[in-house]
Amino acid sequence: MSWKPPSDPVNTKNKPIKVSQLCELCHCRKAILKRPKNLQKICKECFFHVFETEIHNTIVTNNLFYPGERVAVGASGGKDSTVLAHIMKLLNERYNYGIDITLLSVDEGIVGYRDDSLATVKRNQKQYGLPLEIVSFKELYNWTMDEIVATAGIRNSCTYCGVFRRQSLDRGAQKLKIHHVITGHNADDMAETVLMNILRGDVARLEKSTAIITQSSGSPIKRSKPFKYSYQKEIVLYAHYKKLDYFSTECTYAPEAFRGTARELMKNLEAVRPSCIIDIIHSGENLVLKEKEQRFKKLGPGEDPLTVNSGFIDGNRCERCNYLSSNKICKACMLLEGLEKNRAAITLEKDSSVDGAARVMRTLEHLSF
Amino acid sequence: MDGVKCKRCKENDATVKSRKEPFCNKCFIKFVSLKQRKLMMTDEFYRDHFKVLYGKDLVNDGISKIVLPFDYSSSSFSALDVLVSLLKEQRVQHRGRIGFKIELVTIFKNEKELESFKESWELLKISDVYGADVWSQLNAHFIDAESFFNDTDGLEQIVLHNEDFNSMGMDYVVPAESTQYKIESLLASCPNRNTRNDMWIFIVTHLVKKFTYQQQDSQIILWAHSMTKLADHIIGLIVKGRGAQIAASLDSGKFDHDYDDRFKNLYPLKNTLLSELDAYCIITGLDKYIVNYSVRRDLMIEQEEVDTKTNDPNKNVRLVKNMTINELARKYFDDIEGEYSNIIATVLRTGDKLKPPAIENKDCSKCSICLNTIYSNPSEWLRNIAINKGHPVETDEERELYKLWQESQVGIQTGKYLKLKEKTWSEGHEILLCYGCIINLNGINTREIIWPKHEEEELQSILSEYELSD
Repeated sequence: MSWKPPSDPVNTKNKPIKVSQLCELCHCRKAILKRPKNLQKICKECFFHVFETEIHNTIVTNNLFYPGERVAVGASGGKDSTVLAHIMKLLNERYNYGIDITLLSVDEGIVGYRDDSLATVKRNQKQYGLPLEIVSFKELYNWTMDEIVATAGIRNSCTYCGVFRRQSLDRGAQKLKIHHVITGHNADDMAETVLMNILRGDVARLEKSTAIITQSSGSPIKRSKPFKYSYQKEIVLYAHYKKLDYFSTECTYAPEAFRGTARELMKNLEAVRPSCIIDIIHSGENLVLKEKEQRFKKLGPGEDPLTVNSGFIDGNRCERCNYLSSNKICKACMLLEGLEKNRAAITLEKDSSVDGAARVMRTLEHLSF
Repeated sequence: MDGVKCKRCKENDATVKSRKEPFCNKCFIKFVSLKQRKLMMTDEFYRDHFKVLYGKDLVNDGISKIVLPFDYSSSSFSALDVLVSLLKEQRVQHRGRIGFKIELVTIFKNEKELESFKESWELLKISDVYGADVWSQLNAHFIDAESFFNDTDGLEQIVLHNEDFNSMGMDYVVPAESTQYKIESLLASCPNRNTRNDMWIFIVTHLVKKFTYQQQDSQIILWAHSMTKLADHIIGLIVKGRGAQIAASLDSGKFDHDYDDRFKNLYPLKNTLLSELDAYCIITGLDKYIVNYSVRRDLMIEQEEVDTKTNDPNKNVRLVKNMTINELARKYFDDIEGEYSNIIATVLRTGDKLKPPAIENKDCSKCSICLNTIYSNPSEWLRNIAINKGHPVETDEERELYKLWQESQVGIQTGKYLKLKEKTWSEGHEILLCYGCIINLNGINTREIIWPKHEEEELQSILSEYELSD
């Protein structure tokens, strides 16, 4: 599939610019967009400047990289990861971070969705001149997402996909001997998670939900989110005005139902208070739980808190696959065990009925009358 | 509704259905009042203030003063009613002795509001709801919100820097043509309902706490906030970037450090839903005294049929864009209630599990506007992720456009702000603001606010009260 960047508008007449149309930051160029973060009307140059500088500041103040570090960009071909790959290459050259960037993609096996988006990643590889590695669910787990949905149903699709994708990224990075994976998680995702954890009282995740770098103890792979403070709408605008080549269809398998309600609340809040996304992240960074002993039962003499409390140990290894796990068996192996029990005993040759909703959508899109 | 019996007494017909359980009037009143009384009596400090004390050398004969902020809502009346029933019980059981008396404090915006409050209070007084012996234990105080600016030790003008989010302040002298700085001017400068609401809540809270500070022997403010209101409040704080303040704002165990450790804040209605307090007022007949609030009859069983006929779903529906953050949180809870139950209680439980974060600066500093503790450096945090400096001017055409802008009305107004900023930065003193107040101030067009100086003297300056004529 070839890709041509969109052309600039051709019918723009040289009308004189009114003062009210000027950018609210530089006051000397025509404003072309309303910045989602604060509703300031600004020009393209100022938008690029503030957007890029804010990401650079996030990287520098949090010491995300060290010179010579090899970094894998989790690339799905969607807007967030495409902008991430573009901007990491740009900032690395502009500010001389001295990092070595590789694109790392996961093929979940969603016909009509991931195959198209992987084509975008392959084009990105050429456009940015970066190496690319693709790891697939089929290769790692002998299951595609379409097969999982056909077996376990669409309601749990995000649980399986989330667990397997996270592990696949780590395995891909390990294969490349890279110890740092960066992902395109943005401010909206983070604020939504903070809100969701408060609403459903998930105290175990509350304090960690705004961490920019996450790493399990004993794990050689760390993960970070340079877009922690970047609004999703601004990422889209950036991709649009920079004419980046990205795949714009969302995954066709349904999002988590409860997250959907938090997302709806966020949308309403943002309409009233555009700054609410970073405001929520600021709150999230300052949420601290009272000491655990106040909330858990008292220990007896000589009792070890780790053995008393549910056996949760960070840094353990899974007995089956040797992947990091806080329990004896990792979550992915547990999910796989459940899936294997329900796998159909007989399958048809060249059967395409397991290809999910995305395949149907793609077929429908190409129908003509 | 024939046949639905109260699940508690199993005798009377049920009139209210709450938390999936049918109640008769008597059992429902007991249910609500026990929830409040339990929280008033669990902690030793509070128990000693509410119960009847015996012994020699007791201060004020063992009678403590409880401050009850009273805004004439269903929550205020329910809290008052439960307190009054406790007083009545104490009189009977202890042969005339009581453990406490109540100071009701009402903050009013204008004369019209004062009149409605007074009218309601007089109506309650002439009704035979409470006996004469109870009235002698209730003192109603009415405080004009304007005291916030009037009864202070001077005002200051706080200016926010448009690029680095630092702030400075200068003494403010009210211009000769106006005698005082008014709340109205402050609220008019706020860009939206949300900021106005924030400012108003702070003004009311501060005046109530200042009033309590000035009462020599009062150690408890009994806030009549329902579980629903507190859950809105928690979500509101999260959304306004004030998450660090949640723990302190729900703390009823410690003395209020911002007011010289003079009193504690108690929230005894935190296990009761607002709809339950509305139903309580309907059952006890107190709903006719409520001002500025319409009770919801959602829990009333006999009203179900009437409601479906009379309740127009489009009536008084506010557009999402015109709602405040707290109203949006309330809307979310209402919308989601059927599908995911107990969310309100979960939010409150989560809030109760939080503690204040560690203070990054060695010297603990307070926000000059809302008096909350500043835990980290919000200006620095914002400077990194909210850049307010544009791309430089490059071409001749851009230089010309910039000149055009400078001479325009917008340019002149910005110029005025820049001059004020320059003056404040050269003559003023440093002012520390918390994250939430920086965001509020940044939303105000001129990025400046007139505010009382919160110093020791400010708390001493006596609030003028409106007396009730007999």
